[in-house]
Amino acid sequence: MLKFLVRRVLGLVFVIIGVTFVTYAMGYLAPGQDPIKALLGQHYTLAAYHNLQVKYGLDKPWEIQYLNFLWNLLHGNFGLSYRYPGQSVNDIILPSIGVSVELGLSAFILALFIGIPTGVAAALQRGKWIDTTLMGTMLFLYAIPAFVFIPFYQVLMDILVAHNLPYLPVSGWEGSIYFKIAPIIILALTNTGYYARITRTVMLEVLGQDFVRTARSKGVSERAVIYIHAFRNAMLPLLSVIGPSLAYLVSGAFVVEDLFNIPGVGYQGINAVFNRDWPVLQATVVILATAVVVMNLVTDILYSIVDPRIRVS
Amino acid sequence: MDIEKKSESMLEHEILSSPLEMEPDILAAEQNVSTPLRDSFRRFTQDKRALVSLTIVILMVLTSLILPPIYQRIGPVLSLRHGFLHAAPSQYHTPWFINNEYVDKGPSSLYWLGTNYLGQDLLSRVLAGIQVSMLVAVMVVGLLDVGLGVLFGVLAGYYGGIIDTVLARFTDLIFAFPGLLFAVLITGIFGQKAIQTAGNNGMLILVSFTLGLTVWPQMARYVRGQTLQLKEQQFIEAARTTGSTSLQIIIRHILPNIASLVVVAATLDISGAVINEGVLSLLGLGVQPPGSSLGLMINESISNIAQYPYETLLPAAVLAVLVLCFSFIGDGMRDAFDPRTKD
Amino acid sequence: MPHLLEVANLTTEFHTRAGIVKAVNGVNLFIDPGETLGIVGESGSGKSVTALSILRLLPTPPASITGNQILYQNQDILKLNEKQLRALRGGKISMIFQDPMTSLNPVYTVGFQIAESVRLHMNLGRKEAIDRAIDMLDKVGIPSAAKRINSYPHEFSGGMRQRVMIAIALSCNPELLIADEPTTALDVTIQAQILELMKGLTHEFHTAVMLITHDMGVVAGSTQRVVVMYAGSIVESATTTQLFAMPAHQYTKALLRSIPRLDDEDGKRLEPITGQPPDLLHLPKGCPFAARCPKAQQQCKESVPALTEVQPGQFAACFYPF
Repeated sequence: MLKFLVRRVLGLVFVIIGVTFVTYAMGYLAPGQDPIKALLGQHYTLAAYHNLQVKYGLDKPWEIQYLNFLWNLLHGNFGLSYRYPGQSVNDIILPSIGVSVELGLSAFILALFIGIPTGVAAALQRGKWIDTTLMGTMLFLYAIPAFVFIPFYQVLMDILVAHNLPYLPVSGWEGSIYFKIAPIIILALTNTGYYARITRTVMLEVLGQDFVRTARSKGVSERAVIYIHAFRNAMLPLLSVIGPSLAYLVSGAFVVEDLFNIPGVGYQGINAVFNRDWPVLQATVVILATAVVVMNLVTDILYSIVDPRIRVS
Repeated sequence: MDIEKKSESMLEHEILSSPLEMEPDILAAEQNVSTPLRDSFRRFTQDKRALVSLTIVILMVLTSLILPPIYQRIGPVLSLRHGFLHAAPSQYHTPWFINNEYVDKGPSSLYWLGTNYLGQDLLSRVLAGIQVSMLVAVMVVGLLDVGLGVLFGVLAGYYGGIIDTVLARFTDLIFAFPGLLFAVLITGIFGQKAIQTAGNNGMLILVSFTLGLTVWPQMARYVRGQTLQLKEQQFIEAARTTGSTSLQIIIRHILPNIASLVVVAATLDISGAVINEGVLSLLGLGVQPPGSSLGLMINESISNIAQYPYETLLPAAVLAVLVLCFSFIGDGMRDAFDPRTKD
Repeated sequence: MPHLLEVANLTTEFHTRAGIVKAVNGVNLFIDPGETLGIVGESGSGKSVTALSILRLLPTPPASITGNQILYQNQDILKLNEKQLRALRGGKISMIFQDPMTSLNPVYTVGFQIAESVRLHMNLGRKEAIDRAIDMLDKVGIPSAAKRINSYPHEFSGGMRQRVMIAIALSCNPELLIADEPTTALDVTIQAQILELMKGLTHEFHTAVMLITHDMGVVAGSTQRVVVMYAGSIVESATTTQLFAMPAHQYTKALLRSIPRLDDEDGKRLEPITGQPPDLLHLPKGCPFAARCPKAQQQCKESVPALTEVQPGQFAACFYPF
């Protein structure tokens, strides 16, 4: 177990270093105007240019720049913004992390709590109309991206407003809980559909296995067969797809944060692209990638806790 | 059963079946009633949802290709800017022609699906958007996903060694960029340059390249796993003992046996490619105006959704139908090819 | 003395896309308390389906049981409700399956899996159930049972897992144990050990056994009475002694001829049964074995012979027995 953990953590370090390198290299290779010149604008003088170049560390060769970048990362310092003179990337990005965590985590939990029971219910009703209806709906939710749902949601709200009916806001985040309902639900839709469909498949497979028949032959009640014997086994393949499924949350977050004007990490990243503020974009990428890699590690550890075959070896 | 016929049917079986279906079903093959491929095809044709979806996709794609040249011949010559500009339908029935005098109009006999905030023809833009979606899907899935995925997957699975290790490390790295992260990074940084160099074609190539780069490792993983399994099968051993070279084994035995897996996985990847292109264009990182893409159309109109909801809902609905259809097709294919769903 | 279990005209069908498969076709049999009944037949003969039908363990649909009745101590199992059925399963009638590698739940300890049964049927608390589990593991010959109850199935070998299955099956002192090919998946040396263990324990607990197998050797060594099944029907039923001394049905004879014997003369060839068993989707009109039977007459192809007593205690479904 300890060996497994150490190996996984080492793998994680390797991957994060890879991510930072790719991210750094892209920023370094970025075409377009010299960021220092852009920062100075009309105040350009040779002396000021050199000053700033030193301040941003851009006077050094690229490998030193990268090591500095890594070193600063290790200290939780993402560097200086190219766009806003005197501002550090931390000032811009740190407040957005909490927002994204709140949005992403809520959506993730919502998806699990709706998706898995739906999948189990469908598996138990296999072939009946409930199964067909649930799975049809879930495929719909899984297939259709957030940026299609959002316009329809906004139009629906406009109609509600026009008829003096209660409605939810279509933009923003801070303020009241009402701002958060729609973004969280819309972000959760893809994963909900995905979890429901996977759960159904896995449950059906587990319910067909020999040990389920053994449990029934012992006189175990159907409820216990499903929840004690089958579901515990179904959790293993479920856990192994949860890690990769977080990618949908990240993609979705870009869209949801952008269209709802939610100042999260994705929103800052997109803004950074238009501001050509590479350090902020780099920070976005490193933060999101690290978050997903760490979540993957967590599900791996959970996996090993649930599966005794891994726990021992 | 005479020997010749038997060996023929066995061969057919070997080529068509995926390894999970390898238990020889000689009786069935002999009576010519049931081969794995035929079974899969039968199951697919019984899936009404998938068939309807396939029809819709084919119709949409054909329309996007055939309708524009016809549409560009229909309509009067417009006299614009107080008679200073005369525009024929071959001009104003294009995705990019800006007509200030017909802004935000609903469907009419002049503009069949109406115009957007710049007076651009929505029908032409939607059709061009479908073309873009399909083009990206073909480049991402057809070229990169299948091409690189199968190439590296087979090599890694068949030869193992350094290729396998490099593939594994590269896959780990790519998987660490979840979802669109890599695409946002690359298109964000290099998008402008691509536009300057080769216009929207350059952008489309960049978008396809970055999206393709993130999907093929998954395909390579599937293919590698299947190849590893196949390599252990006796008929590969048999081919080797009769002196087939590795290349012959790969082409004659491995590739036909991974085909169904690749087709199913690729179909399922198509909706992902279509969605991701939509997201990038929506975020302003994909196709740039005056070019068209379904995602870009949503981007252009969503700020005015309260006044002109139709202009946003139209591309959104078209994209939803496209994506849903590909999901249904992919779902139907998986059910049809998965031997476990046999009745 | 009344029979412990009596199966009357059991018919089990599977509804598939290709049509209705008659897996079990009008089977009658009984078991008395404490006796061991063997059910033999090749794969597809319906012996496992018969066993699963008795405990109603087949998923319905696609399966459907249309038999008259399955009487267990004057209760018709086919008419029991869920709750009564659960009390019967594992408590009065328990079962061992063919593949010990997949029959145990991989994510629970063997102790949990034994104790689960005990708690369901013996009204014991947690602690007592664990004690009983240790006791049972010890009885089936697993060393340091008190420690091993906390092990998971994957930490046991195939033979050991089958011992665990036996421990689960016998933990609640059932009156009938249905063993569905319990040794088929095991090594030959382990097979004998497991059979000995079953024999010893069922004798000790005075448990009746329905032993399903395709192995005539197992039948000879462990059973008092035998039922031979072919294509979903019983073709012969006799005491084990009678069956081996004087088989009545041509199929039984062919089966016995196809296994090697130590007292065979040198150079004697084994005689396999030629042909294939009939397709259960389209059963022939007459005797199901007629197509492969060396003695078949016109009559055999036209009507199905009924199971009739050919000598005291021996029944055969054949127009031309012996």
